[in-house]
Amino acid sequence: MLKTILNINFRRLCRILTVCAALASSASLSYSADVIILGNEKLKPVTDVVEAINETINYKTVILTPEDVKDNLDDVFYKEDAKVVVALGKGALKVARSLPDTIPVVYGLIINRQKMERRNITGVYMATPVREYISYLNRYFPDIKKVGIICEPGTWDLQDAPVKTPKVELYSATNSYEFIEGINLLGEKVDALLLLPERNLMSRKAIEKVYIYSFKERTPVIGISEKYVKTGSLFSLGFDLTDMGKQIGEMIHNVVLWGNAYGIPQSPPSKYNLYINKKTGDTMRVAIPPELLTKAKKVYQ
Amino acid sequence: MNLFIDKINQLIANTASKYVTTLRHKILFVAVSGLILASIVYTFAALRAERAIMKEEIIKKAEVVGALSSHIGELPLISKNPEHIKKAMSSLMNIPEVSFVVFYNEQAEQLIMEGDITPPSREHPVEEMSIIERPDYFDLCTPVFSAKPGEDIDIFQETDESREEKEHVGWVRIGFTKSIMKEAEKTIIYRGLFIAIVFTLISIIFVFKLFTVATRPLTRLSRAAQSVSKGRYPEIQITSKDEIGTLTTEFNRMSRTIRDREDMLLNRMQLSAFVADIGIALTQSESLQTILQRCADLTNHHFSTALARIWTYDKEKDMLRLNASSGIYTLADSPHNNLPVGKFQAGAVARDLKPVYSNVIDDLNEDDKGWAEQNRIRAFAGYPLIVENRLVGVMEMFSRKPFAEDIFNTLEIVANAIALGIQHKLVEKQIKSSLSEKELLLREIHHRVKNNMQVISSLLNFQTRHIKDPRYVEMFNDSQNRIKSMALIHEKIYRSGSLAHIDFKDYVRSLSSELFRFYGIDESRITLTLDIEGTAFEIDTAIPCGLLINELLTNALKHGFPDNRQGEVKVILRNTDINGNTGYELIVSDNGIGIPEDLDIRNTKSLGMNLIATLAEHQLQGTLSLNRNSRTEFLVRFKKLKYKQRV
Repeated sequence: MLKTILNINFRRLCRILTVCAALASSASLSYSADVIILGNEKLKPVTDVVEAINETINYKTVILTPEDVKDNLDDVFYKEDAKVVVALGKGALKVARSLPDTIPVVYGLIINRQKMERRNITGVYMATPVREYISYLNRYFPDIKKVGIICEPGTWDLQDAPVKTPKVELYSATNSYEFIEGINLLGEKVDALLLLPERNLMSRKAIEKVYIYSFKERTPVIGISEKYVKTGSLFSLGFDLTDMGKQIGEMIHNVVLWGNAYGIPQSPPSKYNLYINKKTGDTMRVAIPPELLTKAKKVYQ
Repeated sequence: MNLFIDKINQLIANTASKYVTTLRHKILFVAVSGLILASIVYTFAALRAERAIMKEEIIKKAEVVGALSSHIGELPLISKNPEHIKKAMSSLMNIPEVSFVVFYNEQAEQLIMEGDITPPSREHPVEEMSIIERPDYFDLCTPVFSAKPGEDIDIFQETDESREEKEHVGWVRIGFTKSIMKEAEKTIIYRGLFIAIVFTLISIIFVFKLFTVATRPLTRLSRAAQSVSKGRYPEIQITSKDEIGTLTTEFNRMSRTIRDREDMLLNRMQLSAFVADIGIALTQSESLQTILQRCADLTNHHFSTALARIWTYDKEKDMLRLNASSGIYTLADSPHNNLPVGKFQAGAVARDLKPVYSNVIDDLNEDDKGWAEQNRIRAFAGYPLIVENRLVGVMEMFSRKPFAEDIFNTLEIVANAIALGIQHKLVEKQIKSSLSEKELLLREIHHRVKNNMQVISSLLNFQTRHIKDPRYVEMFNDSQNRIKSMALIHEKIYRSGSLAHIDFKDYVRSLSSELFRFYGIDESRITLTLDIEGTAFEIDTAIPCGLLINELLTNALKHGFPDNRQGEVKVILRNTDINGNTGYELIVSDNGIGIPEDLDIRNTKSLGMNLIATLAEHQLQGTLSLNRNSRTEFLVRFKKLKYKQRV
């Protein structure tokens, strides 16, 4: 009991001290860190990633809320004499993008690869490359000959698939309405629908429509993460936040070591976790190989 | 507002005063007014409540439809395709309450609109669903969002929905008609009217019934009051102890009081009438017995007695004489008409000189008890008739019903009146008796005077036979005639009904006949014309006037028609006016030879002429004139002499 209380108090104390330190450093613009991490600490994925980063590197880090430093992040960076800025999340990356190119930026918790309109930036994006799914389909689901993909044109690199089957049926959509229209157009033309994490397309209504379509047409949906598998996707290849944090930490280490992010490519997660919904497979009469089931981190029955 | 209320109050007051007259109408007026007011209030309250409920329901429905429209409109607005928007719009327009639908894009620009009403443009786009109430519809405006993951990581992991990012894609504006609300209002108003009418009718019936039951005692009182006004005095049975019971008690008391007072008044009136009748009876110029019998009849009738009697007291014989009896015995068949004082009840009253009154038969005199029991007599009353401490009679009554308490008062009044009446009649009898005696005496005197004059006249006649000289004979004859004329007056007086006056016409006729006979004149030769108006002279006037006519006629008969001449003698006596007083005009005329022109009737040696002048001017105090024109006419004007008290 006493231990619990002490533990809680300790945690609370640490948090208060951290916040006070952050506030004090923000107020006085006097930091003392090699790595400035921008992110919303209230989000658990951010804290998980930050924790993994800290376990990976020996640099002094400081976490700042993007809103607090959106106007003076470069001043903070110089005064702190930091080496790199880590942007975790869309908002953080937006603030970090405003920094001059001389300041290396590493991003994380971003869906997809970023277009290189700003140099000296690298990071780990969350979207599993299409080729990974194609490879899995080719290897474990030979009956799926044609897979449909609805995405914004030019966003995804669909040409680097290592195999020719299943064949990708591509539909372009710029909003959720077109996404749903695309689903309606798919009909029985494809054997499976590969969902890609498109924020513009994947409104709640669009997701609902996807599952309605899937169960109506007995066309399995594949992707995007454990959340979707749990809801009804056949399987997904999802990243692990700790692994991603470590991957970002290694990337930070390289950037600090080299002094910039040039030459360090943006990369997807280096490791995936396989989640399978066996019930969906049974419903869709899609045979799931046993070895796949053994590889899966979690199988939903 | 106050003016309006005042006018309404005035209208109600005028209507009430004009048409609401009875208590029932007033209660109905109040009840119906109250019910109508209550129904109006109820209807308005229900209308207000129903309006609020309907409004709330419409708003709830609008919120549901708003959420639905947001759901339906999301994708069409995202697509910006008019066809898709129209499709979504038609599905919204299928909702019955929706009168129009407008879709706006994210810049609040109107994309498309459909409906019967063209709504005014909304100035500021709303961030949340809003409803504005307009006269004919509710204006609902719903922003349409597309829910997307807030952070990129949220695409992959299960996160809280609050972290979802809502992308504003446009607005849907929907008009909800108030027709349903208005229909509901109409229904409420009709229902309110129906309830008001039904409740008013029911309440009218109820109030009528209730009022009839509640006012039944009042109605009985009202009828009883009407009976009182018609002279009947009923008493109402008291059925409750409330205010109406108290009122009924007081009414009964009032009715009894009025009845008693009216009875008393009636008794007094009857008594007054009775006493007046007694008074009238007593003042009649009839015999005492007749008067007393009438009094007995009136008493019997007034007191409803079995027997009413009036006795008069004969002091000399010390007895009571029955003068009147009414009831079971009349005067004729009464067993006792004379009673010694002290005998029977009437005799006891006369002896004791005290009134007796009892409703107990044992109190009756022993002499009357047997008779009273036989005739079922139960009450009796006797009263002595006393005037100036003298007993004049006894009044007694026997009744088969008990006498009232106040009979003594009545009896005293009546007894006193009858006593006075008896006294009056007795005195009158005495006076009449005295007058009769005096009249008889006076006639005797006149008769003796006349006889004495007749003796004188006879003596003169005897004397005349021994006188040779015709002049003396004539003188004796004249004197004899003069005495006869006076004797004739006395004869006429004692023969007439009245001793005070003489029928002068009859007298003149007798006198003239006597003179014609005395002078041996045939009436065919000298015609006598008498024109005497009906006149009655007292003796003071009659004697000189008779002597005057005697002298004038004698003169005319002796001297006017010598040598058996024919002619006419006329005697006229008529009423005339002398200096504003009643007077007489005596004219004695003849158409004989006439009186010489040189004869002065006042200066002549003729005894007759001297007598004429003396009688006319001194005795009668009149005027004498002689007219010698065509006829010889003596005119005497005189007034009736006033009687001079000589004794």
